[in-house]
Parts: sequence; structure tokens; C-alpha cells
Amino acid sequence: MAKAKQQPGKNQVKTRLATVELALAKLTEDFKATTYRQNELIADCIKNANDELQTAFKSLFSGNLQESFDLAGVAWLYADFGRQILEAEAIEHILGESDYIELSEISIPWEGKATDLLCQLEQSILQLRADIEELASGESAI
Amino acid sequence: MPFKLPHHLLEWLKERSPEAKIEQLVRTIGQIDELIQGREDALSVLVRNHICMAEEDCNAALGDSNFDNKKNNSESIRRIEFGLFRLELAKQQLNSEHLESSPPNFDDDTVEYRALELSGAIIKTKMAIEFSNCVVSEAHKLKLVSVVKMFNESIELLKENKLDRSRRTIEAGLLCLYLIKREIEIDNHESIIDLDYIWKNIAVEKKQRRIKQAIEATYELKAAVCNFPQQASAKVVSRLEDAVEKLHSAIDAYLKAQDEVVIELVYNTTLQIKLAREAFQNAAMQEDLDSAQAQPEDQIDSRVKQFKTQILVLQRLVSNRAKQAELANRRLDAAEKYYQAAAHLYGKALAAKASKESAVAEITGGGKLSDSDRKELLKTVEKAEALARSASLDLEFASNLLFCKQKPGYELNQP
Repeated sequence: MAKAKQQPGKNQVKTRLATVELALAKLTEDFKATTYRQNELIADCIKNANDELQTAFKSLFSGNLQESFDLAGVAWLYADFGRQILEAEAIEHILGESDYIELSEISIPWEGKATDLLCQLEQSILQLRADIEELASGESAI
Repeated sequence: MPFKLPHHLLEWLKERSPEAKIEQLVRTIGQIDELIQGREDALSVLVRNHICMAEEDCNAALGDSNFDNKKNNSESIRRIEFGLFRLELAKQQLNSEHLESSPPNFDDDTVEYRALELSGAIIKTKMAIEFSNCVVSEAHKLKLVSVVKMFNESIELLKENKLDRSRRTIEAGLLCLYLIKREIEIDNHESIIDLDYIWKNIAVEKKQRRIKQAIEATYELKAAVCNFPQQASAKVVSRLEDAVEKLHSAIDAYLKAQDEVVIELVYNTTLQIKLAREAFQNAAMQEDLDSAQAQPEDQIDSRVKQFKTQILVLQRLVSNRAKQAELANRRLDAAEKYYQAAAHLYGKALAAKASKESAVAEITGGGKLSDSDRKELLKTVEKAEALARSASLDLEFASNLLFCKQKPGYELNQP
């Protein structure tokens, strides 16, 4: 089980907010400068981290130190994930392969894949019906 | 003598007046602006953003028709204070610019630490796949996306302070990722990445370790079966498929905190794998022991499992994407149930036919069924056909719902 959280001090909260915000600003700048690929998942991470940070600011201003500290932590989780994806894809790009594994569900066109799956399912049913028909016709012909 | 406040308290009160605060805000904006003159890096963009928002707060306070410097207008003061607060943070960022900034530090028993482990493992797996140019099937790509979804869900739960559920979601995500990684390794006949370090954390629960061990045992055998497929009987393959399905159910049960179900499923998986391993190792003997009747049953089981998996993949794919996904998924559930029932009736009819024919053959030397047996068999077959037809209709219905049209995207043929 997780330990009970220790209430952070105001300076601790401010330091975390400042660190996370700076890391997010750097990520945003690097992401904007990326010309080879605009990964939607990174854009989502930046947006989510930014939203959490704004709420964390408001919490700190209202004196909710713990809430602000936790929200800044959540913002860091998003920013860190976005940073890792950006760096992984930069390496893949530098290596010249540019064969990226898509981790975002938004980019997957579901219609084509769904049609394929429906066709496969239909084929399975047709095969079963053909087998049943064969068994039935074999018996009724006698 | 009337009471007089001490000097420092009078100064403090003065500083608290709206007028003084606005002055302070404008002065700070000027100071900070000077510090970032001519700079175009990430920090200066961030600080300019802070200045811009502080100015907005200041203008909003001044533009407020109710604002009166002499009165204590709480909303306007709040906005000015918020602007000052932003600037204070910007100052702090500028002052600590040259210091070594360390990222937030989370203890290794916190949910945040585990979330970072999951995001790190996702990225390591992504990089390993990209570097080794592995072939990854669409189904595995979808599963990887679902792990990312679990990461996002865990953060949402963390925000809602549902710490235990958040931790379970992360840990289930790690187990799913480990399972997918093993699948990809088997498909590509090579090891791509070592994720074992995750389960070396002492904070990892025993149940989770047991699921991981069961995954390891299952995929060790699966790799051996892939290397020597001729040695694997239908029974071994069927037991392996069953074990993988149980592993997925165990992860799902872990996510839902159904600990007793987890223990039972892990036990059953381990048993299945033990039996499958023994059968695999004694392949030649096992082949002799397999009866002729068991093979069609195994084949039918395997067809049902494949159908079920395809339905699941389709349901996950369309969920939250297609407009009528929920209704379509219900039709797909129905199609799966009808298909399963039809297949089992067909299997039953096949087995009954084989058994009756062999019994007749023993007595008469021929192999024909009696009229009553034939009638009974035809009845079963008719039922199976009706059920399979229902599966077709439900599949067509689901397709219409998904693509919002009168006719499905493919033509349903009559067998």
C-alpha cells in the first residue's frame, strides 16, 4: 500500500511548478520545431499537461498546496511521456528509417480494419454453414 | 492617545491596497521584460506568456466598472494578486535558469512512480520495435494503443484520488505490455527488449508477480511450439490458446481487484501449461493417444475461439469511434453466441454420426445410420443451421449500424 502523503511546503510546490512548466515549454518548442512528424499523441500530452498546470496554479494561489503539488506531478507525467515519444521518434528519424509505431488511437482509421474483420467473420460463418449444409445433404441424400 | 499601529504593520497595510498592488504588478512586468529582452528561447517564450496573462489580469481588474481603489473590491484584487503570483513564478524560473533543474522526484512506492515506469516501458518497447524493424500485426498495434489508453486512464484515476484503481490500471497495463512484447518476439523469432526490471521493484505485489510468471511460462512454451510446430499436437495448441485467454482474463480480474479470481485463473493457466508442456515433450506418444473423435472437436473449439477473438478485436476497434458502436457491439455479442452454439451443435452432430456409424459397422459390417438416428441427426443439423443463420443476420445488423447504411459493406452470400 502507498504511504500517506507528506504535506509539501509552499516553496516545494513552487519549485515543482516552475520545473514542470519549464520542461513543458521546452517540449512545446521542440515539438513545434519538428518538421518530419507531428505526432498527435505528443500534442495531446502537451495539451493535457498544460491544462493540469493551469489548474495547479489556481490551486496554489487558493492555498491548496497538496492539490497543486499533485496536479503538477500529473502534468509532469504527461510532459515526460510526450518528451520520451518526441526523442524516440527523433532517433528513428535520424537513423533514416522513419518507420514509426503509432501509439495514438485517433490516427487509426477504424473503418478499413472494421470492414476487413467483418469480412473475416462473415467468411467464418459461411464456412460453418457450408459444413453444416454438407453434413445435412450427405444424410438427406441417403 | 489613540491607538497607533506599529510602522511595519502600517507599511504592510499600505502594500495591501489595490493601488499599491497595481503599481507593484506594473513594476514587476517592467523588470521581468528587461531580463528577457532579445531572447527567443523556450524560457523567454514561457515568461512572456506569464507577462501577457498578468497584463490581462491587470487590465481586467482596471476595466471592471466596480473597481475602486479606495474600496476593497475582492474580485479585482484577486485577479491582480493572481497576476503578481504568475510573475513571481516567472521570476523564480529566470533565477533558477542556470541551476541544475531536477525533475520531480517520486518515491518508488507511489502511483506516480509506477506511471512513469509504464510510460517508460511503452516508449522502450516502441523504440525496440522501430530499431529492430519488427513486423507488428494490426492486432498487436491495437493492443499497444490500448496500453497507452490504460496509461491515460490511470492518470485520470490518479487525479480523482482513486489511488488503488490507478495503481492497478498501471500494473495491468505493464502486464499487457509484457504479454504483447512476448507475442511480437515470437512472431519475429527474436528477443527485442528486456522488461523484467519492472517486476524487480519490491513494491510489486505478489499476485502481479504470479501473473507475470504465468505469462513467462506460457510464452516459453509458445516459443518452443513455434520452433517445432510438427511436435505440437492439436491438444497442445488448444491448451496454449486457452492459457493465453486465461492470462488476459487474469489481468482483467487484477484490474478489477478480483483477487480470488486472479489466483484461480493463474492456477488454471499454470496447470494448462504444465499439461501442454508434458504433452509437447512426449509428442509422439501423445499423438497415439489422441483419439480420432477428439480432433474435430478441437478444430471446432479453435474455430470458435478465433471467431470470439475477432469479435473482441472488432468491438475494441469501434468502441468510442463509430456512432452506434454500443448497439453494434450488442449485435456482435449476439452473433458470437449464435456462432458458438451453431458450431457446438455441428460438432455434436459430427461426433454422434461418427459414433453411431462405428457402432453400426461393428454389428453389420456396413456403416449406414438407421432412419431414426438419421432423423435425429438432421434435426440437430437443422438447429445448427438456424443458429448459424442468426449469427449471419446479427453480423449484418452490426455492420449496418457501424456504417449507418441499409446494406452492409460486403455482400452476405448464401452457403
